[in-house]
Amino acid sequence: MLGSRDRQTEFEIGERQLDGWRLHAVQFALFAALVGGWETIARLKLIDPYLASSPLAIGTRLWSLATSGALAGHAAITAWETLLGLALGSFLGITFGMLLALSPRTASVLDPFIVALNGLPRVALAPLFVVWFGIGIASKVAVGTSIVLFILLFATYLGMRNTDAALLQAVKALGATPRQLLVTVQLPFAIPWIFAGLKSGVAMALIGAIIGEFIAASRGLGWYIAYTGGTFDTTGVMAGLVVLGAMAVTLDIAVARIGRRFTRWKPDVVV
Amino acid sequence: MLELSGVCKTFGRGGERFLALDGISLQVREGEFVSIVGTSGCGKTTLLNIIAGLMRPDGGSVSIRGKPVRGVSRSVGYTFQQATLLPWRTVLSNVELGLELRGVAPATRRETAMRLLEQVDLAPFAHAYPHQLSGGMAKRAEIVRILAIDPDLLLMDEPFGALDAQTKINMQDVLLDVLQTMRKTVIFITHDLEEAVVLSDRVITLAARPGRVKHEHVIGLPRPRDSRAARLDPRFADFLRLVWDDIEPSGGAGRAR
Repeated sequence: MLGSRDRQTEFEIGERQLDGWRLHAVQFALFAALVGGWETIARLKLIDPYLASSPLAIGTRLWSLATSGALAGHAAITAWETLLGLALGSFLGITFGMLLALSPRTASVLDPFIVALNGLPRVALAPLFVVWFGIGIASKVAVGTSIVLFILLFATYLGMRNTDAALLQAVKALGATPRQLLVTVQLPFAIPWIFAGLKSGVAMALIGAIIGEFIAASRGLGWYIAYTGGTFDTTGVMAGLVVLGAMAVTLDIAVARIGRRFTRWKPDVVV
Repeated sequence: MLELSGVCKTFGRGGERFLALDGISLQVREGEFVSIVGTSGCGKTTLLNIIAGLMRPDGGSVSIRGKPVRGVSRSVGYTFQQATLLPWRTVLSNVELGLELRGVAPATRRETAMRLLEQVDLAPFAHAYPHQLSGGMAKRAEIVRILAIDPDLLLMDEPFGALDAQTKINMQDVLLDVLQTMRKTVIFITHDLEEAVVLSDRVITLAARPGRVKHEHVIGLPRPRDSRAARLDPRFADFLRLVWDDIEPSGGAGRAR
């Protein structure tokens, strides 16, 4: 959530923040206006409902999917793939980022390799992951992991390399061993960077799961969207997209909550 | 306590080399407060880094209590000009840091830290974060963070350089007061000549390019001291003049080069 934090600062820079319920009220009004506008456009047939569907049709579809239990099944599988991709990708990314930050020589040797790997489009890699990991959940987790890993690697690496030299010197002078420096200074310093990485990682893990489901799957929201798209069922596609959007917002809020817990000491951080 | 003999340091390589320190020799007694003053670029900080073991000299030797310095010693405390409290830790947890790194039990280190914070009137702010403190309070916290590890030798690199005049005088009193109760050997770097005279038993002036010892001045002001009494002492002006003439050879009247 962008800028949902309200803290007392010594002087105001830029706009004042909306507080709690007022922010949510504005957000809800905007949402209602968008939905209402869309419905009006569909009713007046300004755009062919066959192409854009309508909120009412999407709502009805979501209701029937929910009551049949299909919605929960598809959403659960995609959520699970996303979470696993995010977790595994973050773990590997933070670990590698940390190791590279501790060894600048290795980092400079590996740099072109990392950049090349990160440059590969994952859509092109997805078929390969299906061959390697099968059409089950593992190939989707692999796609998500392969994107999230690099985001967290760069975030952790940059965060640690940017550690304030004066803090490092001071704690070193207090008698810290290299390992203690890592734990007491470098990692805490990188935490806001890591959470910024996690924030974009959430969306990327979701994209990874969907790409995987597009290539080969028999369930999941990505499969449902691909399937309904294939039969020109725009309402089905839109219903799938709405659930994906809701999932992204939920995950983002969860990451922001955890992030705030870790960065409470910072007067002006927005996670 | 501390002995330097013929310490040299060169920076750069190839044709770009320059001599930063040229044969620095000095002795500091147990419990003595020695200030090092000199124009910027005379190698004050380099000298302190070498004593701290953060930097190796290219020639000469440094020993503390007869033991040659190799690397950072756990019996030496170092304070910097910049703010170096860890922003994500509370004041208390910052003060505990040195003891935590030494594996001291939580209850013991908390007790030590609280006692020191009380001594500098920071106890009410023990659970505040550094960004909530004023410059002077943050400085006091940094000083007690060093004192918590009970160092034999305290190296201070322009610790009050970034503070306003009033806060600076206040900090000088805090330091004089704390050192009254826990006698420490201190090497203090400053470019504020008055500060050097107020605090020190001895002031060493350095010449620049290459850095070398110019003179030593014993400051015979009585102890215990406070910054006001020291400044109002009739001999204060004499001591200040001696140091001043070393830094500005024209007697301070002009800036002839």
